Amino acid sequence: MTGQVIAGWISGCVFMLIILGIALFILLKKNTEKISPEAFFIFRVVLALSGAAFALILTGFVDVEAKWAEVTIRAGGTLAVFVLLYLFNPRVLEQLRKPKPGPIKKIKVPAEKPPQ
Amino acid sequence: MLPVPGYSDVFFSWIEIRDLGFPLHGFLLYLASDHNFPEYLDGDGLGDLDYWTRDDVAIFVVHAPSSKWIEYAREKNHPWWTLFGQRWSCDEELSSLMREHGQSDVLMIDGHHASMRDVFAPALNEYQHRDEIGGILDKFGLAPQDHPCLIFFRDLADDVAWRVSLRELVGTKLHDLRQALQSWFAGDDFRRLLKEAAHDHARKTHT
Repeated sequence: MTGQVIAGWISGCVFMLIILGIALFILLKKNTEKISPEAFFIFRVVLALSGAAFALILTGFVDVEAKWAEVTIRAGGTLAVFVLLYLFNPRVLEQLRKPKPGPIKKIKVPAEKPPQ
Repeated sequence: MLPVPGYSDVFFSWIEIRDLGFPLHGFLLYLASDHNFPEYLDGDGLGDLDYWTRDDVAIFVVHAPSSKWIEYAREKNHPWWTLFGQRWSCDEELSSLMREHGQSDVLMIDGHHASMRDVFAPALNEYQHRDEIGGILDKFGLAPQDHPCLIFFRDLADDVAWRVSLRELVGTKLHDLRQALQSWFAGDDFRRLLKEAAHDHARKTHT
């Protein structure tokens, strides 16, 4: 096992534990509030790094071509895994991200005024 | 679904509206700039919302109904027709003309044909519309920026109402807007609200 593979294995595990820890924290906290876009970006980068680090120990070659914000990205190997994980949205996430009406809020109505 | 010219129409017809026996009433409030709410209501929106909420809630919307809606409400003897419909189309001669020749094309603008129904459909300009929406938001103690939204209430005289913000839906595609509203009216939040309103209504009538 080369040093690069060992480094990939260790960093993959570390990043994966980080993302798993955050996910468990959110689930256990039962926070129904939306995750902020800033936090979402960080999760995404950590997840993509974790996947790319793990890809170091896999054999074979991956080639990805993705179009993002009018820019075509072509990547191979571990970088391809990073691009794939960073840009790919699972269908369930797309559904969750669809806008919907807000929660029902009770309001206090002021005393009636005659219509103008 | 009850399209109205403004709040005063609801206010002055309240006794008749209340006698229809809906457990809950509501306002769907949006401005002409809250795309694609006006576009949706101009198209399938009135029919959709009427179908999804028919027996549960009377939702008022400040919107000039299309002549197609007027005709539908007249034929089905929809509550809207008896309450407001005749005011929008009080001219019997025009009504009979619409029945006979409503589908005939009378105008062509930029390649789009306009039938006699389209030409004679009642209009409410965007400034009048904005003022009416502002008046209703003010009546419920809401800020002028609190649109688009749904406001639910049992009785106009009640001091409690419920508000659902629809701000997230501004700018969404017509199909997504329709789907979001359909899911909401079929969802748990709306069912819970209806249950709460019905429970309160029963308690009130019992006491």
